[in-house]
Amino acid sequence: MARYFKIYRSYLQQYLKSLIEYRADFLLGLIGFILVQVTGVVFIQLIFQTIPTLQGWSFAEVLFIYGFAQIPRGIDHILTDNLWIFAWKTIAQGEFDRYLLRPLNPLFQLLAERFQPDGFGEIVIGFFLVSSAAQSLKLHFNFADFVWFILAVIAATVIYTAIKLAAASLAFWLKFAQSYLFMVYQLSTFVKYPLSIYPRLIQNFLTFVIPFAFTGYYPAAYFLGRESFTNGIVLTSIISIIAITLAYQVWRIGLKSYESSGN
Amino acid sequence: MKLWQTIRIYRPFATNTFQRYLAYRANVVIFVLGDAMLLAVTYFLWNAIYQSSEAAILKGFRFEEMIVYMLLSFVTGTVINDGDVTFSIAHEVKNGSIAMNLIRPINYETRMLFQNFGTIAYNMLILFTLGFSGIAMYMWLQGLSFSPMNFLLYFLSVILSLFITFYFNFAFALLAFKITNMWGLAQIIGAVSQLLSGALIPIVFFPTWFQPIFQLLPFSSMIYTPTMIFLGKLSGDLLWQALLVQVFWLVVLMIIAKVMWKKLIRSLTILGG
Repeated sequence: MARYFKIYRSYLQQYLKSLIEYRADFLLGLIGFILVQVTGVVFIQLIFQTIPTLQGWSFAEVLFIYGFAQIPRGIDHILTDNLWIFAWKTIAQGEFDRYLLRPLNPLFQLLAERFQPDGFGEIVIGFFLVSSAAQSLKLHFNFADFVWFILAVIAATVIYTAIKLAAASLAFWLKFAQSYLFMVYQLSTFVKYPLSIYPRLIQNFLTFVIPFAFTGYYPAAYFLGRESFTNGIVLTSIISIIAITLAYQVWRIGLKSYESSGN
Repeated sequence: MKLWQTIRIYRPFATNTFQRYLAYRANVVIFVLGDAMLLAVTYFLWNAIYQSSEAAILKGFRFEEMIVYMLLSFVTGTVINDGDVTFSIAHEVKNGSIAMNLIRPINYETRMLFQNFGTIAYNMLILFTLGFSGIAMYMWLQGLSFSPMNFLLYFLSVILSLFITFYFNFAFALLAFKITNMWGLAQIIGAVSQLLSGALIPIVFFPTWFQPIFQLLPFSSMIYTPTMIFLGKLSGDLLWQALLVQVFWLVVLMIIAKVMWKKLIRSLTILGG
């Protein structure tokens, strides 16, 4: 374990060198992701000028959920962005072989290889929305709440990674799986808003099939006092463990059936 | 006569792109389905919004009209937008292959325009046909009236916005001569145009003090104008005004693109080869 940390650090150092080289690029990416999220906020803002509440949810509450959903999304974005590349071309272009030649877990190598600071944009806007919404709602966070908040964010990040990993693993069979990964990833858009605006079928799908609801709505609604502790924190943690275990199994099965596309 | 010759010379660029898209159609369709996920979210959002509102009409839109607006602005945006122009120019600049293309006796802009036609042809045949049948079906089910005249005017407006978008993307892509992280910049422009083109929410929802911004930028000519024409929300003088504004932006962006090309191509340095 300690060895993996050490290796990750050297990967990161290499990456930071290139970051210093392309500072302007980093800033552009960051601003880009912040702006993409800002459009969503503007949308909500414009809508709330015509209605008082969204089916009982106030402006600040909707922003809180929206902001919360961005934080795990951003963290996952920073750490596991290489899954997109993997689903796109790593297998198809025969580049996967080199991961298998080294005495390290191939998945670890894949993830460590790329560090995507663009995700900080999502985290920044997420924290900004959550804290300003919490302030206008006069939410009181005691110490326990902070612990639950951190736990919920970690569990939600793991769920994000699990869903991405499972979808990206399809590349072992399909070679090109980026379009499927994109489709699954887009489902996360649903949970930026209160789940109650969707029909039952969609609610159940996002809770039981592809559990994105635990990356945004459930934990956020718990802090708003709208969902129980069980749904918001306990289930989020349990689902995250189940999801990552299943996703890693899919990856392992894929790895076993992997055939190099050759050179 | 000259036009005919141009078409004959550059047509292969269009057919080539078209065939490439046909070959990868499954992936294109899945990517579009991914985007359509956003439509589903937006549909339920509007549904909740109209249920939360006491008035049945928000800013001049009934719920059914809003759904048609949302669907048609999505389809229009998908059809006219060819991200490939931006990325293939940026790519050619980055890896230096643009040098080879400059030596050839072929006009770079015209070539890109014809590649763009290839994409658009594909978009029209597959995505527009599918998307618009869906919209027509929805309108028929909801008992909304369909005006063939508005459809024709919509089409005219879309053709204008097609060229506006092309020249905008072309000029934007030329920034790759100066900037390396085109992806980040594309994100920024994408976000801005999402908001200002009316793709996300009809422009009338913006506060009055903000409205002049739309007059100063070309984005609203890209998606908002054609969609509003189809819905019959622009008629009489307003309609002709909107079309004239589109022509204005087309000319302005064409000039900007040409000027930028002339300026930047002189400062191009290719490393290695």
